[in-house]
Amino acid sequence: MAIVMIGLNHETAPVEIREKLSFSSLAADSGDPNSVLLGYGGFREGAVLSTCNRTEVYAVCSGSEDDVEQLCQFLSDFSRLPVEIFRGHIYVHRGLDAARHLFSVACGLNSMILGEKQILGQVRDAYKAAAEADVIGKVLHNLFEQALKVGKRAHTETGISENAVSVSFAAVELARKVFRSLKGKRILIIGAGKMSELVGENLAAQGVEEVIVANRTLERGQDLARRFSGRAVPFEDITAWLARVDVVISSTGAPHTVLQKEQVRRAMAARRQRPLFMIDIAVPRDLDPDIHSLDGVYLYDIDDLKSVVEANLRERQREAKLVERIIDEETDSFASWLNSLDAVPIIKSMRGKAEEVRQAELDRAFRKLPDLSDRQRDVIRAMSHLIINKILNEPTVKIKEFASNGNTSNEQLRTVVELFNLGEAGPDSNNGDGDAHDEAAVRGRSDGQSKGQSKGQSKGQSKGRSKGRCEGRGSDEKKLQGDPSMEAGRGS
Amino acid sequence: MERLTVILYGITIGGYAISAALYVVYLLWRDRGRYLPTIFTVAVWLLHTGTLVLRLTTTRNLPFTSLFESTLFLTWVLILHYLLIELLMDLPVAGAFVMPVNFVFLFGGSVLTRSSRAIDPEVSGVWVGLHVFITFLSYAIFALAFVLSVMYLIQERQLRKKDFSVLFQRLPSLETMDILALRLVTVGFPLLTLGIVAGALWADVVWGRFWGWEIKEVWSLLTWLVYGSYLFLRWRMGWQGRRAAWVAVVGFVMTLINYFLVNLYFTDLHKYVL
Repeated sequence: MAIVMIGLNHETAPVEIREKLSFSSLAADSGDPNSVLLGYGGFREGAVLSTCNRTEVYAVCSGSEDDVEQLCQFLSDFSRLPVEIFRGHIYVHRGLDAARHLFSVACGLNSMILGEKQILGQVRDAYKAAAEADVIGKVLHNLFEQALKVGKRAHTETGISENAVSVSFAAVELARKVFRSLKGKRILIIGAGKMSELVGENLAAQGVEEVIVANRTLERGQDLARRFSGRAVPFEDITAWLARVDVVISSTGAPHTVLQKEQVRRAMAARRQRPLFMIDIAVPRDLDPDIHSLDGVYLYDIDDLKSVVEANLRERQREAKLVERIIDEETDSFASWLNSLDAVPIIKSMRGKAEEVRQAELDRAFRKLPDLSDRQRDVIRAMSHLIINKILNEPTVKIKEFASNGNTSNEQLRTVVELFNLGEAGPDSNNGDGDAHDEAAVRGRSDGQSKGQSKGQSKGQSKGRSKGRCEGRGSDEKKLQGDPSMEAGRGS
Repeated sequence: MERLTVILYGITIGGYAISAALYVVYLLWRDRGRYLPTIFTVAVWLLHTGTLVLRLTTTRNLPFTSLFESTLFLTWVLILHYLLIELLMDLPVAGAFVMPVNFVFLFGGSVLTRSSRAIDPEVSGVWVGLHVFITFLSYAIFALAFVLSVMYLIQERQLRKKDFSVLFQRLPSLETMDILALRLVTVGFPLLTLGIVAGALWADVVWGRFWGWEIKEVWSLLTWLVYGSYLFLRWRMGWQGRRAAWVAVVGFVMTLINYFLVNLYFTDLHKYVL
């Protein structure tokens, strides 16, 4: 039994290819991919994970040589895209490396926005869908369960998904470094543009007391105010309101500044040093940058917010190292579970052999003693059963032990097989080259396959290139509900 | 002091050095468990408590015979308060600032002191215990208010300079620290007042006068005035933020001078043998 996966993502494939291979866009006419998958090769289990940033197929095969070819064929048949077109964009992982890959995907380490949480839900969906289609067995079942656990651990035990990585969340984060909470605070939005709406939405979600909108044209201001069940005020009243609000967001289309230092200074006198937090997201800027030098006033412009985002991304990259540690641990624990599977056929065969002997000897004994009553026969049967059980009990426990701490070429298990002369049930014969794959996977891991990947990742991150239809910071700004992260849903 | 207590004190001080390091590591790297520094500090503090109790039962003397000993008592109160605050406010990042202050006390206490003497039986009594205990309580609380004010000033500076470093992300909001510092001084000030009053009553019993304009008394009064004006400015004048934080810093520096320098060099009232 060997796990094998192939896939492509935003790092390896351009969007033109990704969108054609996305199962969400194909499923309608080709049937459920999960059930189709098992029609290929010798796959015993399968599951597909498809988001708009990645398409990945996980399968458990009996170790045939062309499993990867089969998986590619499956993708090709499903998407009606010739294999040659996407072959160059495919990555392949086998055995523990595949498990490791899924774990880091679940943690958001492979996502465009490092550490985003949405992917964890998508892994869960993929798992559920495959379970519903009844195409996963215990190996993938365990793999996905553990992946979900790893993802959860990463989010709770490290800061991988902490701290805002979008401009509008950065504004909220900054505000919360000034105020303990935004509950009970008043927000003044100057200019009813798209950007102020976004930032306003995020701040309002923190439970602010009231949103006040000041716009040149009162009607548009009223529209926006209605969205926050706030109130619209005339543009001329801004200065008066400055003394009564705690947060100001400005984003007008004005070609010059709309608030001068002097106006804010006068407002501050009336506020008795209560701090005032201001965000200027307009370009050209609305608020005189000098305002920031006033005592108790904190003014940030769009570039400041961007540098917060960058700092946070760097922070996430540091946290990613902790996540790697968790993944290491969990991969090890998955490995020992996987190895313990080796024990099952050996135990089965050992017990089977014993049972055979027992039956044969019972028959012989009964033939020699034809006068036994039923009750006497039962006692003898039970006794023979108990003898076998008691003798095999400890070997059974030991075999499980050997298997779970065993490495790839499990000498101990082999000895057991030889000891009981179990022949075909050995760890090697059972899952054939699966073990070899595992070994290769472990080696591949240490000489940097995954490292290279995460490096490429961070590069993609900071440059923010490769815009898919549902990702990238631009669209991030348009969505903004819930998590800032962006490996958007399957259904997009 | 007996050999055993000396050794135990040594372990305690070393333990606090380690917990200071743990808190700083937690602040800047947050590498491992959130509770490690706290649990470790609680353990050291318990050892500290045990040592004080041992000392108290063996010598039957209040632990104020030398600057070193009284510092060990003062830091005991300080850590107790800090742990309570960490528990109530969930502010483990403050540990990285409190522990160094704790260490300044311990270091100052052990460097500036040489030997100890029993308190003159003539001046010993219930009042001295009460006076010292209440005053130390207020010192410990002022130390915490100082720490929060320093944290405030650092965070304020980072917001001002737009320096979004790791420290910026770890430190809490300005409002949190501002309010907490105010609450602390609001509790510490009445305690200082009580401590001074208890001292005056004691002086009346021992020397037959409440107040003698001695340098220790004057300096204490000045410190009291600084904290008094802190509260006045905040409650009456609406001060908050940076300016208020500076007043709390000044108040604590006065407290430190009072505790170390005035006691050692300028006064006969609280003089320890050098």
